[in-house]
Amino acid sequence: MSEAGSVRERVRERLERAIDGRVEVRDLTGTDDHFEVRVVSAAFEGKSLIERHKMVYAPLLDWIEDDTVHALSVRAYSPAQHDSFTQENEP
Amino acid sequence: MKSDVKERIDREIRDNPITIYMKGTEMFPRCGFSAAAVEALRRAGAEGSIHSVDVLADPELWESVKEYSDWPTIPQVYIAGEFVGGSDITRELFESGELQTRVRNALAEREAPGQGSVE
Repeated sequence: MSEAGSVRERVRERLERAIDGRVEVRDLTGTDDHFEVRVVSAAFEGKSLIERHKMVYAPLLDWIEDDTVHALSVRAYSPAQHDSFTQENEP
Repeated sequence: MKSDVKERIDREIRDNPITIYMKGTEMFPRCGFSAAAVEALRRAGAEGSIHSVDVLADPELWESVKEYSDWPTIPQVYIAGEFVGGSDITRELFESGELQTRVRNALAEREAPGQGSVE
């Protein structure tokens, strides 16, 4: 769906390299600079929301700083959380 | 970060039960994420008690708040002197009900310091 070399694709690659888990990146505006990131990873187990979001920001800090990534919405779930969430919402 | 700016932030988050560093103002947000965070705080019971600071009006403060919290994005929400998070976390805590509790406790603490919640 996305072209190789798009920021969206590069964001996904960096996150996959940094965090062991499932990564989805959506382009919210079609402008390749506003993204919603969903990460499901066992690495989030026992971590606070602030810690989880920092783990997602960490590999992207230079792009956030230079505005390559202008806006970033983050959802970071542990596998257990994600399972209960999808069960609640998908009857 | 200059020490006077750090002291300003120290004081601001200590003296106000709820502080948000945002783009635009509480009445006129200039970013969807900032607007969403303000909306979550209002719905959590903070309406009328939100101290909002427009970082667009003060580039030095903008850089400093990011360093202060070690958090790279705006908005940033503080309740009772403690960093809560950005727009996503604020909304997530609203959905779970925790934001309402933290807002209530912060406002009660201001009314009656050290006594917890009073009617």
